[in-house]
Amino acid sequence: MAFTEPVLLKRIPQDPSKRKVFWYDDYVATGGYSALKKATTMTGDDITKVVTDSGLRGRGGAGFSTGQKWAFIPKERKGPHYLAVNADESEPGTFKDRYLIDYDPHQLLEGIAITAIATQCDIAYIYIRGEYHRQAKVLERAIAEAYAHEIFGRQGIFGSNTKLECYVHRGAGAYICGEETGLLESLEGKRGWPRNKPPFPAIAGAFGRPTVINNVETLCCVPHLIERGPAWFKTMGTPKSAGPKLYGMSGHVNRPGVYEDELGITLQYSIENLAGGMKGGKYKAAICGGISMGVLGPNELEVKLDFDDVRFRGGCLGLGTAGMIVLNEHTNMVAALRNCVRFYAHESCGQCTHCREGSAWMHKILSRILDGGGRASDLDMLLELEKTQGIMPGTTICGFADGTAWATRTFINKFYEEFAALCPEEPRVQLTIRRGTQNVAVPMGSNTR
Amino acid sequence: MVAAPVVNITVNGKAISARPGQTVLQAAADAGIEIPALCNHPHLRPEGSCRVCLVEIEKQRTLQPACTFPVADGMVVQTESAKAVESRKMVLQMIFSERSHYCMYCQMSGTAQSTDCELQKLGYRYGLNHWSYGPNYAKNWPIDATRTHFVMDHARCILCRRCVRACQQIAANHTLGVQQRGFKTMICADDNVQFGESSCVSCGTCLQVCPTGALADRRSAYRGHESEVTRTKAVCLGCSVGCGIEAITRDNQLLRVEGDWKAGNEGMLCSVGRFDVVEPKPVRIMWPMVRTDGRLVETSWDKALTFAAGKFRQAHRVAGLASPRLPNEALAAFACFFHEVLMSNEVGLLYGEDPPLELGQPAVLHDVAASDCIVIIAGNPMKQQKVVGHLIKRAYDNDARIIVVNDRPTELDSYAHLRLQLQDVSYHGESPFEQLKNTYHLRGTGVSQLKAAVEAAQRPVVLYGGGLTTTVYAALRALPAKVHFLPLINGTNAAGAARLGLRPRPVHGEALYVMVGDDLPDGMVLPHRQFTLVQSAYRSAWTESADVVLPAMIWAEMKGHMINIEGRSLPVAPLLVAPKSVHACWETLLQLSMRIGYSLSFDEISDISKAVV
Ligand SMILES: Cc1cc2nc3c(=O)[nH]c(=O)nc-3n(C[C@H](O)[C@H](O)[C@H](O)COP(=O)(O)O)c2cc1C
Ligand code: SF4
Ligand code: SF4
Ligand code: SF4
Ligand code: SF4
Repeated sequence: MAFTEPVLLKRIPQDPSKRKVFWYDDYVATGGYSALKKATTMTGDDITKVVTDSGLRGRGGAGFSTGQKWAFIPKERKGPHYLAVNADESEPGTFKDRYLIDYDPHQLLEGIAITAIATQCDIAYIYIRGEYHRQAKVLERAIAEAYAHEIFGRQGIFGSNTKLECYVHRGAGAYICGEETGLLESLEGKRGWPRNKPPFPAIAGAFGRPTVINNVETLCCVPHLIERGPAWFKTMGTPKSAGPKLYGMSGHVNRPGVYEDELGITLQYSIENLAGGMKGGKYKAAICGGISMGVLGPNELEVKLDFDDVRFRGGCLGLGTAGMIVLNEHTNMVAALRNCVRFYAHESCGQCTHCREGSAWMHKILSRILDGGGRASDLDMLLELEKTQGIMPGTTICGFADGTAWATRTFINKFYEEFAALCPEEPRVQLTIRRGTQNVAVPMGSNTR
Repeated sequence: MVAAPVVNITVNGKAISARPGQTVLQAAADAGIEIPALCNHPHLRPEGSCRVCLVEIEKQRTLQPACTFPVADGMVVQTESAKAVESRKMVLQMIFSERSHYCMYCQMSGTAQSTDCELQKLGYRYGLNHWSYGPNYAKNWPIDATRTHFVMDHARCILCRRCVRACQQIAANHTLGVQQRGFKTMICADDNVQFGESSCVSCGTCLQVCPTGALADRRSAYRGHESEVTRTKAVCLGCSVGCGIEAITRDNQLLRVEGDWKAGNEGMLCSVGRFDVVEPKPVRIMWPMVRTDGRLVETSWDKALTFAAGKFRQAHRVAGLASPRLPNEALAAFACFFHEVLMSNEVGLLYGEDPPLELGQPAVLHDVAASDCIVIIAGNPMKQQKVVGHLIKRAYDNDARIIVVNDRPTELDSYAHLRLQLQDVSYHGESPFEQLKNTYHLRGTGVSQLKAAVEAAQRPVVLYGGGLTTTVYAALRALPAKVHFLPLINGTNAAGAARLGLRPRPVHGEALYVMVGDDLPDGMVLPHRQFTLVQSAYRSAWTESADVVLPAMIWAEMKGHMINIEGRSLPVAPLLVAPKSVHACWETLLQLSMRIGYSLSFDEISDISKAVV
């Protein structure tokens, strides 16, 4: 294990009584903003190269290479470029970004400033989840300090040529505004409805201009990377998933909370060594990266928590945010899925037919199964709905519906017996009607309720 | 000449030459292959949300929405592959299950051949004869019947949001929006008020694009399917814009009016042209009437005309007033009748104002929508030429600068980037015509800002009303040559009338002939004379005060031409057949002149058309 000391959490001790907010002076006293000073002497391309070489992948869910994303921003400037910081953090089970903002806001601001140099951004908008009242205030104060210390503002970052303004934009309580183009629409003052892609935000993002969108944790990695270099970064994690990662542990564990370790630790390790072991019963399942990624089953304790193993060996959509919800043996998986799907039915933005209707249907079917009215055909319907929604089958505008699909798919496939027990095979009743002189069989879908 | 670049694609085995930038759906449509779609509409920006148009494209991992997917050279598309059809059936099932589509109660419902509902049509096409997903309503969807002219039944809405986009992109009125999320999503107006209390101006564009029975026209619902009605392209005579319309008629009745997508108004109409024309009207006058013992008594054409001819012969001087809503032919015959038969110059328009002088290059309607700087001087297009008002708002949405010059407040003020008084743009100088290119009279900095804005713009348009002073005209003439001008004329065919020398003015004479066509007084009183003849389609305060009343055609029965604000001559085509006892104005005039003892020099409408156009 090459993870020797906390990186992102270096100013946030595990013991709650010792935690405090690191304002500007404390931040600088502990080595803050030295990476930014270094970055002001580098070219944008150099910074982007460092980030690409490090193998940093987005921590907001999709795991896309951050350096590559920055490289998509046009070199030639025909107007302003924007940086949108995704602090909407609404994925159930995910609460790591809040933690970073709560105690170490300048780490994020430093990452923002370096990213702006790399991608020639003029304005950074921190799009923060509406419910994060306290965090928005912390950021406002930290930003004011950064202005006062010549990081943001017209004089340029530490007097350099990159001039950056920074604003906090508060969301209004919709999960879909975390999806990058939904976020941009909301930022522009419209309804948070994801856009058709292409064009991608790097070409036409906020207000039609090139825009970088990154997660809070992704940006928090950047100062450390600049300071200590890609080789150091790669000593942590696995070859394709480098660096440190915050794990948000919750559910039936003894010590829920945010923990830092490298990418690629096993599920077992995260439960035993980070979260203090199972509570109230033996391990049964773990939702690995927010519910949109699906669930890891009983035989998957050895799966490595990185961007690839969770997919290939764990059968999930991906690592997502590593917001882990661990479930013990007493959990009713049907009820757990219904709870997840209720979230999707509530949060679907309502643009795409499949997502709008599919999520509502899934919730309806799961509710009737739980109410004792389940039938075998209900499972077929759930699986049909699940298969036909998402970007993957090509039926929706954004990845929200894939989340609904993967949660449903992995729950039913991995805990099939539990579902089947509530969905008995029904007696086949064939209805006939008399048409003219003949009896004709009625083509009954068994699910016309 | 450089040949236009071509993108070669194959759709369902057919080779198609598409234009770059087209979507798969557009390219296929141009080649006669219809890819089914519900949220897509040819005149709205594609949104790709209903997912009915998913097609299989070679080398693409997944199905792709044809309505947003751009064509690329060598692309091979299958629109009806097993995979695409299966997916399409699934979406249709979901849409059908979403709300109450019990078609038998719906005005749009019909057979596979006759249905007017785009959803039902697809249901037929893909053989959806049963539900595997039954109804799944989020709630009892309400009906909103608070609008005067059409009704919204949320239970039949499929959330395609064509209406929302039409209100934004075409009408630029931004009334409609969406409330809630997911399966509770619902179309709403403003901040969720009832439609009747909203900012809706009843232009009806949303109604025209709705694919289902969700928006229902009160007057034409249940009165005939598309397959049973006749569609005729014509011109709206509601105002001087002269919008292109498609009249939907059946059994000699006008059921509904829609905007012509191909005309300058690009599908849009205002409430006058779309709805007022089918509202109930006063009692129609079917036969001539002569006042006998103080009462108007129906009589034959011959008696009425002979009586009127006698009165006109006796009169020392006869005055004439005509409605500016009449086509050129009627107005020309009227003027001719006065000049040649009655030897009178006392002829003018019933109402209206002098049309503005012509200035510089004339603009067409599209120039307004596409302009980046619009100056509106006098006049109020938001009230008088409403479709032009919508075009201004559309340009405003595209960041055009709006400059309003008016002494009175108008609805446009809230859009104005610069607001000036008329005297701010008066040309100042002893001899304006010698110093046209000199400075303007400055009052504050307003006028220099106006000038700067017009000069900086690439496609400036000046809209100007009537009644301007020569100094303002001089100032307008001094604007740069790139400016296009559009006069805001009051009175539908006032431009045509002006070319015939007919203007609104007081007329003198002890006998009066008023040709009102289908106009209504709206509070206006006729001057009192010894003898008054009113030729009118409807009974009104005007006919009640007349001595002789002659029937007249309504706009939809008339034939001829009008000249609109663009200065174009537009054919007025008859949509309906007039009742047997009602004749065209020019025929009446011919008959009357014969009884006076003079034969007019035309005996066919085409003669007049030739003479005036
Ligand atoms: C439905 C949906 C919700 C999302 N919510 C969030 C979120 O709350 N926070 C976040 O950082 N990314 C979220 N994402 C991912 C973003 O779209 C985007 O990939 C991410 O912000 C990019 O940043 P990264 O490359 O740094 O990870 C969401 C994606 C989807 C499809
Ligand atoms: S997939 Fe769902 S959340 Fe995403 S755009 Fe479509 S309806 Fe909205
Ligand atoms: S809107 Fe169409 S599908 Fe719905 S009830 Fe009417 S005809 Fe049927
Ligand atoms: S009638 Fe016109 S203004 Fe009213 S909602 Fe429809 S499109 Fe908008
Ligand atoms: S009212 Fe008509 S146009 Fe508007 S969303 Fe519903 S179905 Fe579509």
